[in-house]
Amino acid sequence: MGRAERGRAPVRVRHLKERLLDGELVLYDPERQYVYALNPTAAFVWRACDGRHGAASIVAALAERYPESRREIEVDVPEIIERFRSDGLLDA
Amino acid sequence: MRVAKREPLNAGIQAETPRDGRGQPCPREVFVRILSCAVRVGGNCPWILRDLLSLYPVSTVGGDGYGESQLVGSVSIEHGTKDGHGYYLVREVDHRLRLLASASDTLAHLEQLVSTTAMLNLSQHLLVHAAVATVPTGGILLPGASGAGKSTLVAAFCLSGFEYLSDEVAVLERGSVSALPFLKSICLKDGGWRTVAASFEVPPPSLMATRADGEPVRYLAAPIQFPPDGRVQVRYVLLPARSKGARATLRPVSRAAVLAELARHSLNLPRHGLAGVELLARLVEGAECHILIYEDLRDAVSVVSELVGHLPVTAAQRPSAPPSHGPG
Repeated sequence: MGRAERGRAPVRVRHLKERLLDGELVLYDPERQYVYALNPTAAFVWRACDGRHGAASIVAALAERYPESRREIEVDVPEIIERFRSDGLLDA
Repeated sequence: MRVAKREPLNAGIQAETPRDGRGQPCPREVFVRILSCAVRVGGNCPWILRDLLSLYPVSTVGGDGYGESQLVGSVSIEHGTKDGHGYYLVREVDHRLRLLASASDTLAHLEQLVSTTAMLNLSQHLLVHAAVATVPTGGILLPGASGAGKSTLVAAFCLSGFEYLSDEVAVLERGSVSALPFLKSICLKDGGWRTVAASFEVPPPSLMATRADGEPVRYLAAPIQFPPDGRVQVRYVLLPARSKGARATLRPVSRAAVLAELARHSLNLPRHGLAGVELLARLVEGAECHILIYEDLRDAVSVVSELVGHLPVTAAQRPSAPPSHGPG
């Protein structure tokens, strides 16, 4: 990962509780008292939000798994990150 | 395994209760009982108290006490006239006063007041905005905000031979991960009542009232077959989605999405925190989860009957509903 991307790499907040339900990830925010259900793509993005991966590398990693869906992935990943950010799930 | 017990409506009205010339009981004090809670309602208007008794099937008149329930609030009503107009002055649990002009308005206000008081005192349980019906295989939880159609659906289920557990709030017990009965008559808005009456033979007469927000409502006496402390394992969670022109269908939905939906409709999740989320997770893990898309109520009942393996009964097969009383 280049220096420029490292600067934008999203980092998930630490206070959320995680639970797997039928293989799907559920997040519980005890501060906001809100529960989020993540689909598999969103869960992958969530786990990749570790401060070491920018949107481009998350897209690349997902596209490697699902090459036939690269176009959708390129649209979805930035939207998911933005949604995490607007819901306060990422460190500022 | 729960024990089914038919509890007649107005079970609390005993033979020694004073009665008027038409043989109607004239209580001066009643105890509305919901699970472990009792709310005392007293006043000089027995017609209101009588109607209130008919809404809450395990309530008792004053002299009979309130058993092992805990008295959690007291409300008094004074009926009088001024300048030729009747009035009802309600002194609420927190001693606030509310002046109402008609018996109908007063009844609707009392119903909301009593139910809210009980809910506030059931905070050891997780409360979810949902209706619950039951069949021998387990409980059917129908979560949703006001207007989602859950009361209409639960009324349709009950008129088709399903049992009734609660209307507006599901009381979920943490230890057993089961639903407890919040027994009161099903409250239907006018539109919901018309929808139900168009598809089912609704037992007349019913109580009618107008809520403080101006919404006219009718109460449907639901068939009660549970002891007040009976608990039911939730086996089905159905998210109601009324859609114009849609044939009734059950669409699969992930348990994770249902958990998020239940949390969204919880009334006291902050009190329970992570333990409340865990309760909901265990509940959905033990349940089949679907979105119930429907327009026609009979179709919806038919699809759900097939899901739960319960044959709906016709009006002719149903036991007759007990009579309810209009404002005197």
